[in-house]
Amino acid sequence: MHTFALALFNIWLHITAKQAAALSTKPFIPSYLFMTKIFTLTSLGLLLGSQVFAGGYQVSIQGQKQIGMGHTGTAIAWDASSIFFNPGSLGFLKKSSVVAGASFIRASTAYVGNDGQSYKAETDNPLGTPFAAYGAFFVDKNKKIVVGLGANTPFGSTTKWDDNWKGADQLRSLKLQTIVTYATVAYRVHEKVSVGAGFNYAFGSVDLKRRASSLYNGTTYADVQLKGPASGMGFNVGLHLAPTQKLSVGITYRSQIDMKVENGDATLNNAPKIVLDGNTFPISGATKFNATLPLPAVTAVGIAYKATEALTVAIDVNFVQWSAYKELKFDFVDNFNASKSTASPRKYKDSFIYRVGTNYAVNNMIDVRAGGYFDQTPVQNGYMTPETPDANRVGLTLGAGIKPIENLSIDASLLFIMGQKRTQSAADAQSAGTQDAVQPGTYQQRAFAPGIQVSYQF
Amino acid sequence: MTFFFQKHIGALLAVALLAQACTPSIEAPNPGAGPVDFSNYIAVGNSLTAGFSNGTSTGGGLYRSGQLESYPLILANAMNATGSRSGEFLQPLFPEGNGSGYSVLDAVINGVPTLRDLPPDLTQIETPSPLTFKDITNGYEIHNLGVPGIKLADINTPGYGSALGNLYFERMLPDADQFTSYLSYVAKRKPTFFTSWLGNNDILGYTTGGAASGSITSQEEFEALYRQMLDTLLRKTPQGVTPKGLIATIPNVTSAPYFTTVPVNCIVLTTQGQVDALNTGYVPYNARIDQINVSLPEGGKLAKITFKLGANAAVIAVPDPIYAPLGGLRQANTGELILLTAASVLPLGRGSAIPLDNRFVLTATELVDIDKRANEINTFIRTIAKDKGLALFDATEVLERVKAGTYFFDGTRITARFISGGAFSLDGIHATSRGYALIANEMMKAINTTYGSSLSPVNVGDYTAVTLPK
Repeated sequence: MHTFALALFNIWLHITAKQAAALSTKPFIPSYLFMTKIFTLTSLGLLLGSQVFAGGYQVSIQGQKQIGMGHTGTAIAWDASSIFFNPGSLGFLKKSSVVAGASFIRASTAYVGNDGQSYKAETDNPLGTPFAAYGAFFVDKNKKIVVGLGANTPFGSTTKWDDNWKGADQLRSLKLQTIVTYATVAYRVHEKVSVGAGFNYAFGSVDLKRRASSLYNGTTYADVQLKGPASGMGFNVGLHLAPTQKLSVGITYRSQIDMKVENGDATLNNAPKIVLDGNTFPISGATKFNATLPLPAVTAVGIAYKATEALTVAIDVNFVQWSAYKELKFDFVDNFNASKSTASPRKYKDSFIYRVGTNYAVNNMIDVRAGGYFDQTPVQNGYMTPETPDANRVGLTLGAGIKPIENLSIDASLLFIMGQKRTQSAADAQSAGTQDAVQPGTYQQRAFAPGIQVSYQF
Repeated sequence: MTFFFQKHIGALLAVALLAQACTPSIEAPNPGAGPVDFSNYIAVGNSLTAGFSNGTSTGGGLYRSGQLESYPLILANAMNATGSRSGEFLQPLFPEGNGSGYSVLDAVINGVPTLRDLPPDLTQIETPSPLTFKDITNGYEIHNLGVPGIKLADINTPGYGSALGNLYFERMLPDADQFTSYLSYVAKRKPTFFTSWLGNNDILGYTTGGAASGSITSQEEFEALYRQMLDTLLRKTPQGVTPKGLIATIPNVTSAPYFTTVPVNCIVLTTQGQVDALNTGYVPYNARIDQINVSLPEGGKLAKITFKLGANAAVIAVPDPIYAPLGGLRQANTGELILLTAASVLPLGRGSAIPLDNRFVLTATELVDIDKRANEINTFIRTIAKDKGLALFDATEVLERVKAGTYFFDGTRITARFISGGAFSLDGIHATSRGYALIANEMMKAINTTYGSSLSPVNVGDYTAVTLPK
């Protein structure tokens, strides 16, 4: 017989455990059976997805007065909320101001399968409660300089699908919490001109869960959790012009914020032991990861016109530089799914949001508002993922404000978002090369958000 | 109160409408049979139709949990959803347990999987030698007529259902009818709709044995038998329904991991001692090659057997007469296939100091022949599907995509890779439940396209791939 040894790997051996053990001691680098990507870790699709400024279940809710008017506000100095809408407007405030409010979002996404499937699914999202709080204070006697502090939640929400819904390998749930804080200064350079700038610090957390149906241990599928804190920095600047008594113009720029997830925890749960080999997945099933998710830069231009003493009309256009979101990449400390990094293309396109709103002062105490917007999706065909099944959206808003006493205002709004029904076929995914990253099918999003806020000026 | 409603009816309506509008609602298509009568659906075929999985070295692989995820059952459930079919889809189910036995994966050590065969369910064995199982009691009522191992060439064989024939068919037939042929058995069923996937074993039976024995059913015989089966299935039912149905092509052998897992370069040498020992052993062989090559033309010369550190091509036994003076052996060439079964003998020195038997190898010549025959058979099947207006599941095309890594369901790739690919079970030939779900979905697509029905595909992710040890 042959006394030399043969090492043979990557194949099926009908051998005894003893023989296998003998083989395993041979100095040979095996081509691991599982050294192959078992699934793709694409999803963090973040969240940051288009919902930051867009509709859907994560909506722009940064000021109740503005929401009532289709979330316009770039050219109106309502109150301290201009810290977000246009720091330049702060110089036009008449008094120092504090604002605090919140909305209650009930949002859901419906899904119907592709290929004539009669399968249906719908998210079971908990109630979202985005809030906004701002304070703007004049610091000089001449009321030319304003400093402001603020915080809001431009994209916090939870998306929850059934654990074994059709797209569970893409996403089971996504919990995203983000708070953006603002430190702002504004200066009224001229009777008709004010400028402002702010430093933005964003922090929060992300927690994503998905099924890994390629890994079955006889009882249950494995699942993956990616969880970690995220933070980033940016700035915003603005210019507010009031050329006439009736007309005002605002222009503002919010920079891109790169939300960095550092030292996040990537965990494979319920894993079959054989993939926890240190090469396919870490022996413990867990490792750390880093990721960066861009919140795109936004340029907003707005015009407000006081048609009569009581009626104000506002139009805003937002230009959102979504093209910054090219891919979603995760870097793992140890091999996670046979690789130290994974990237999936997003290829978002820059998009526009068109907003219009009106405010009518019924009398000195009561204002009523209405508005709407059209929000263009940045997501191209073939790139629609279950965490951002994005489509063009129409938002319709109503609002009312009451001033029960001097300087105090209570404002409420109602926001209703209708996402267009959007279908992504397997062929769309194929032409985009994203078959391993997206869930074909038809999606539709709806959201309903009543909100309330209190503001006081002094 | 009434006054309140009257006064605010508009507002209340608006709120109601708004609340309604807040819920997204997309209409999902309703399943429908279209012009198809699915009421009496039967499935004709072999192991793939039976729901066979994780086959053992002794012919086991049919067991209850696999049968309960067979593609005919998935299809029948989809047919029931249309309302055109109702009631249970009856299969020759084994009771809970091992059935005819199946293979499990015990461990993977340094990339090397260890498989273990579970024995057949002892309570189901009727006679141990030849092995037969207890007959089912409803052999003429079952809807899944898949018989593991059956070739098209077997459909007219009397006694194929006897103890000396096919143990799975024997189990389906009442003992009194043991000389009923498969074709006559099928003829009694008078379906309104059928799926018929036969012919795999006419090629596979030859290829899984390394083309060392037996032969592929001749084209002439294949076509005649295929027509005979279709003519039988397409007979008008007593109610006057002209049946509709689906047939399927035969996948290329190269798309199954049984044929593709062990690489040609499977002899991995890690020490110079091994290399030298082997090269010394083949000095006489190589000297003989030199002698023979003198009389061979340029370009037609034979290659020597050489080994180096690292991966080397296996030495194989070949029936080619040109190698007869060389002891009938040579090193395998790129493109030739070493079968999964060789894996158990490679560690014993086969393929290096001793050639691998021909039954472990498909040589280039054999592959050309097999490909040619598979193409002929598939061309015939595609043509006859068109001629008879039948739906066609082009298994060849679908499995090529699986093999190429371009088949996806719901964002998940499914490949033909052994164990981790997801489509093939531990025997490297039969599908996993997931693979069968994929097959069922592709069949539904074909049926819907051909007949205008709307069978609703299943979620492939609900069906499991290979069970990996906890």
